[in-house]
Amino acid sequence: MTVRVIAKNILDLKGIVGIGRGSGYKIYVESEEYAEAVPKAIGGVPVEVKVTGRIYALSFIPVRKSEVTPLVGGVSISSDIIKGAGTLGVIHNGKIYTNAHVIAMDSNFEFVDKQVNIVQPGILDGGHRVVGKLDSYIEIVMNDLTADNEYDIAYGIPLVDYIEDMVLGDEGIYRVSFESVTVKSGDKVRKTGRTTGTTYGIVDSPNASIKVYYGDKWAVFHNVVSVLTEGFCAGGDSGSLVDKDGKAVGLLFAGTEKGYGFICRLPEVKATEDKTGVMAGFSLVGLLGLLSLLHAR
Amino acid sequence: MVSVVEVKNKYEAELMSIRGVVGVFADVENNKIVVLVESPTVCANIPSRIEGFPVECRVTGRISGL
Repeated sequence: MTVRVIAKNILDLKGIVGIGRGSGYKIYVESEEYAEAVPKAIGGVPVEVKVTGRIYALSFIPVRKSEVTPLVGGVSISSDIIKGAGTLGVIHNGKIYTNAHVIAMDSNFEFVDKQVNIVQPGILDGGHRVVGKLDSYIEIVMNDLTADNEYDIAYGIPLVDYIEDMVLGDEGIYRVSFESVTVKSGDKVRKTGRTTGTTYGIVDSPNASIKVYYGDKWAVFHNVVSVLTEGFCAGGDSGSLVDKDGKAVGLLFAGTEKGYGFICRLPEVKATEDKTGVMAGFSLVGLLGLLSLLHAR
Repeated sequence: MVSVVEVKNKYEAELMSIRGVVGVFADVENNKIVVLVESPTVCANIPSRIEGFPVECRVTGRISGL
């Protein structure tokens, strides 16, 4: 049976996006959930399933430094009160996820005291389109060695169309989940950012303590995932969602000249991990702790 | 017996207060403490062992918000 004949029969089935021929048939699906429905063989020929994600015409994949509609992760973003640009990590549960220093701080790295606009692309990329409002952030204590910072995170409310849990990668859009994920030294992680696009790196430590400079100020962060892979990131990638095997690990927020990257975990994912037994009985405390950290605008 | 994580936690603030130190973590698999520094010269100020655990000095450069 030819690939073309099979294609006519299966390409209108939900989740199947392609078919090819190698030593057997290769059937491409949008996500793992559709893989189970694919037969193991067609006409006695074995079938191999590959998860490719949805396929788009390349001309429709917008450049991440230009206006992207609907909003997805991996694109340029900033507040309208700074002259820089960072990355929209992802939109999850109706909230924009990115770094506090991208949308909740002014150019002197002081937290803003008003509900600032979020623009996409970021100001540095010529942005003027308001796509959201700052909703809340987790405060960062600066210039204090004893501070217990863990997060450089702010949340925004989108005001335009958006797609949840999707990131605009270099090879097309991919989905991320917010289920619990364990990260250890040697793990391979992926990020997609405004400046360097989709890159992969190797985890050096899942729980480093680091000192991060913001202009003339600095802040100590704990429980940071370090990726000491050259070229993993660069300025403007702040806020990028980092995932391991499609599961959200955290937001890239700091780096070095060599392109090493540092990732703060997501409070939501950590709370899930707590709930699943790592720290049994701590989930409610963790959630209350998170709520106490949030500064609503 | 005290673990490498406990020793790292005990000395973390002291290590982070050394000029040029930008990070500290416990490498549990290799039972050592790793100190991240801005430049090679900083390594001269880092002890080679702490409470019996080896300390590795790793040059990353300064870490900044991206």
